[in-house]
Amino acid sequence: MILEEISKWLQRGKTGEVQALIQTALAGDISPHDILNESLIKGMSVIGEKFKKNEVYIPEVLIAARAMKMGMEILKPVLIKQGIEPIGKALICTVKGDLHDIGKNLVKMMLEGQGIECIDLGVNVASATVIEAVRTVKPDLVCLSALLSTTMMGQKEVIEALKAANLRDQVIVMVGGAPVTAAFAEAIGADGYSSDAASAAVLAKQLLTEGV
Amino acid sequence: MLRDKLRQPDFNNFIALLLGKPTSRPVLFDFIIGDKIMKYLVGEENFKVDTEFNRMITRIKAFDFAGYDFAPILVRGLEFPRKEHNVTEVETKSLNEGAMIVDWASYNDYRWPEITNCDFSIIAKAGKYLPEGMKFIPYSYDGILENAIGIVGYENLCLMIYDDYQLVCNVFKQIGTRIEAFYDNVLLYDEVGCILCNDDWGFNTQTMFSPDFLREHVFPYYRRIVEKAHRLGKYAILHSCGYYREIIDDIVYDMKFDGKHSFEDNIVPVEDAYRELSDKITVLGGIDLNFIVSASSDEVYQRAKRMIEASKLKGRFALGTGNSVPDFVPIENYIALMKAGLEL
Repeated sequence: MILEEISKWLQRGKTGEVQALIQTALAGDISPHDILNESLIKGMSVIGEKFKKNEVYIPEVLIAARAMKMGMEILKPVLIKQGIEPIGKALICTVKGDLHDIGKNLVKMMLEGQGIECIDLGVNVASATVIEAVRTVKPDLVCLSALLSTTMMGQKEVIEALKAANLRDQVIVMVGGAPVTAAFAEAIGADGYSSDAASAAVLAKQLLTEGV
Repeated sequence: MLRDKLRQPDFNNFIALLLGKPTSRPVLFDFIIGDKIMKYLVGEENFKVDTEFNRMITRIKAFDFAGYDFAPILVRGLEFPRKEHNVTEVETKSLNEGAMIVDWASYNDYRWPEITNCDFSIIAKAGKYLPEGMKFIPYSYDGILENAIGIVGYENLCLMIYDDYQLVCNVFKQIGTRIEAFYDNVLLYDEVGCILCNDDWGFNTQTMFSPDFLREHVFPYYRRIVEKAHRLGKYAILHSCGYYREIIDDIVYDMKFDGKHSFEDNIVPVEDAYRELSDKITVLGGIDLNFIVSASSDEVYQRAKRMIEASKLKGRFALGTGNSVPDFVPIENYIALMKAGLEL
């Protein structure tokens, strides 16, 4: 019951209620794993599904993601203490030459909403920076965003750089952004493409759990 | 010069197109053309952009030489102050960048531009350079939603809706009333035959804010602006990028725009948009910009020709790009596009 309550408050973006109920749930010996999966991730999944159907819009996604983030501030230390790991680690950025960040940020929120840890490299990120981060962070997934037809080739550059650095087989690569299509993603050798952030998170989870 | 010398600008053709009446020849539409292609169109000797006025004259020539029936005109002075864009080597920017209003204190400190900053008389002055048969289509420096996002930041604005709704209401009112006053002024000039309201409302898969939010804070201003244009016997077209399906009835039946510009293959390809919309609104431009950049000249020509053919019977289609003609468009592809509309 309380898990459902948390999920509902999260969907409404009510940070205070989410935090208070997580405290109550933890005090009531509900497992942090269940709180994460049955309330926070479940709530974000509902938001993601509604977003795909245009039943909610980005403002509603943002306030739900904010509530999840604040909830995680309480839950994360307990999860770490119990050795509960995220389902995967993603490196996310907007490629070189492109400063657009709305899509990237949205995908990041949705990925976190699926229980995937995200390391955000920001915008205008050179392929060399991505390669360096792949070496040091060792992500399972690399997500590349581009908003312009002039910058989308930067996604190809990163994939080529991963190949040249013998790192391509170690990561799943997903691409997205306004001008990007499934055909383009396939042509440049990406493993996944989605037309919206919510679908991207679902696909990422699928690729992480079932493989490419 | 791209157009044949016998083909002269004829704004009446453009009006006929907006009204869904037959036109004597295919009509062309574009809104923003980059300097590289403007220079190509007018020739090195005529390309003068050292002052805002010279840029206007150059634009008139470029649109005339290319075969359009109008020239867009930007009257400056209503630029809403934003923070400096500080990454100079990159030509893009984030919608989160430039936020100046984050709370009531910054709202109260904000220096709102005044309509008196705009020198509207430039329309009459530049109008002396309009060739016979051509009219101006003025537009403002960004629209209501774009300016709100520009001065609050997109994500900040999203959160502000839930954290301080009254502040959001005030921001939109400040912007909306100024944009409305801007169009009230430009509509007074005889050189103006139509206005263009430029305001991006959508991403690829949905509107940036809920349709209800747009209906409350954005659309009422445009409804009044279009109403005023019609009352004065003029026309109003919308340039708005992004997903539009849930708001198209607002665009057509509530705000009553006469034409819509900006179509993208990743959202609704212009061929589909034309099938869906041409009974109720004129489809302007629409050949996807990414396609124009990446396809061969022949592919661009063939697609443009097919659209001209498809719209021959019903009309209500002006050939042009889906968005704009930035400098990264290969000149030969722009020429191929125009050729499809210029040849008889």
